[in-house]
Amino acid sequence: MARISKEKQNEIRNKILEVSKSSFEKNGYEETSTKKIAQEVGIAEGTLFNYFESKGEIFLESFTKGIVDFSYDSELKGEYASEILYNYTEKILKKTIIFPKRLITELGISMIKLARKKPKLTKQLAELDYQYIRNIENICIELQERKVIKETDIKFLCETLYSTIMYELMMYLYEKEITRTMFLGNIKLKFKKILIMIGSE
Amino acid sequence: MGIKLEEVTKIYESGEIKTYACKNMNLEIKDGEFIVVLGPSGSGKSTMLNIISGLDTPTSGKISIDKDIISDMNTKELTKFRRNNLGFIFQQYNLLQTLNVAENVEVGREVGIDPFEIDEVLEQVGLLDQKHKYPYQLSGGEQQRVSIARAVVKKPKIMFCDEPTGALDEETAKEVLSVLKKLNEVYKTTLIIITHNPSIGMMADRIIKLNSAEIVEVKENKNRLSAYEINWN
Ligand SMILES: Nc1ncnc2c1ncn2[C@@H]1O[C@H](COP(=O)(O)OP(=O)(O)OP(=O)(O)O)[C@@H](O)[C@H]1O
Ligand SMILES: [Mg+2]
Repeated sequence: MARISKEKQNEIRNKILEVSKSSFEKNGYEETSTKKIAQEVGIAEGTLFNYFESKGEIFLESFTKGIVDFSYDSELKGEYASEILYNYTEKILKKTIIFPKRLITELGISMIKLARKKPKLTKQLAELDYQYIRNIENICIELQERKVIKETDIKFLCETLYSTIMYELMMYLYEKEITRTMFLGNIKLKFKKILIMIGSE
Repeated sequence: MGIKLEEVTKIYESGEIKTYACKNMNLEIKDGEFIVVLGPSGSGKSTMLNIISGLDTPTSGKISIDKDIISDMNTKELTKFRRNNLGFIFQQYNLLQTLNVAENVEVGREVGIDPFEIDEVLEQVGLLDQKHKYPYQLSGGEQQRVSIARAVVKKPKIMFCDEPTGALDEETAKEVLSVLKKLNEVYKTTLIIITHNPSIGMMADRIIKLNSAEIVEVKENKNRLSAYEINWN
């Protein structure tokens, strides 16, 4: 790649991500091939692998970079904890569920298959969850300092919130009739109940 | 506090399909009344309760509690209202396992503006002598009585209970129900219990029956029975 300028390289890289993203959305993970992506970008498949090691890596990057923004400053403005924690969670989840259910499920399966070959990818994917948990932990600590939530076991609170999301995500992915709005609504309701349980609301 | 529902409707939309969880519900509940809401699974009981208590919002219609119009409130106002006036007993999310009985009740007490004393409420639910035990050291019925104490200690005007005896056997359920009834009588708290067990209706002032998201029957119950007088089925 030495003969191509840095700028040009970035351009190609972004083009690959862009083309892949729309193909993932349209055709699913398994049906998207690196060969077709390369064709559409106008490069050789071999060249594509100079930019990314694998299809999994492309997906992960098109998914994480620029799509999910984990920062939370503006969310902290709410007055009640369930509202603040939910608004932050909704922001993250809304970005995740822009993909069709089928694609998310398929990706999960593909990632499990890929995990043995590419442990690094699995780690990267898990890192998204850790990042979310770390951030709600930090939000909780801040809310505790502001006396929005009372002194409580923050680890327990975060674990409860996180398991709730995961449970609802499963239901959302496996039950055809559960829509995005219902999925988010269920989480919102449960967040309120959890905050009532810990005595903050 | 009294509650008034006017044409309350909740719709869940899934693509082309619209599911009514509550359909044009009209109802008035008087201050201090004991209401039992009955209906088969999926008839809209939980949705109705979530909406009346401001945990969820209706698609259309008006809900007022005394002078306050719940359905016009924003999230912030609703949370504040709930916190100050309403008590909850859920099927899940009730007790903190790392706190003992008294501490769990304390958690509820701190939310209240003019709460009861912890010991007084524990006495009422018959658990004063077990206040240092942890949830895992208690039976299901005792745990549920702690949840009741926790909800009651902040002196709520209305208590909402979604299947408070759902996971309990007959004897334990009766013990929990008699505590709820007593609190309704002693503290004049408006009490709304959701259940799929029709016999519990015999304890209430009025029975509201739901079917397919609609109120299909409202029945006065002149002869309120105690928990131990009802025939369980
Ligand atoms: N969050 C939701 N998203 C989509 N549909 C829902 C949601 N909650 C309830 N429903 C639907 O609304 C209807 C009423 O549900 P609800 O939970 O209020 O019934 P229920 O009488 O409490 O039932 P159960 O006795 O099983 O608890 C059902 O058809 C249910 O499938
Ligand atoms: Mg229910």
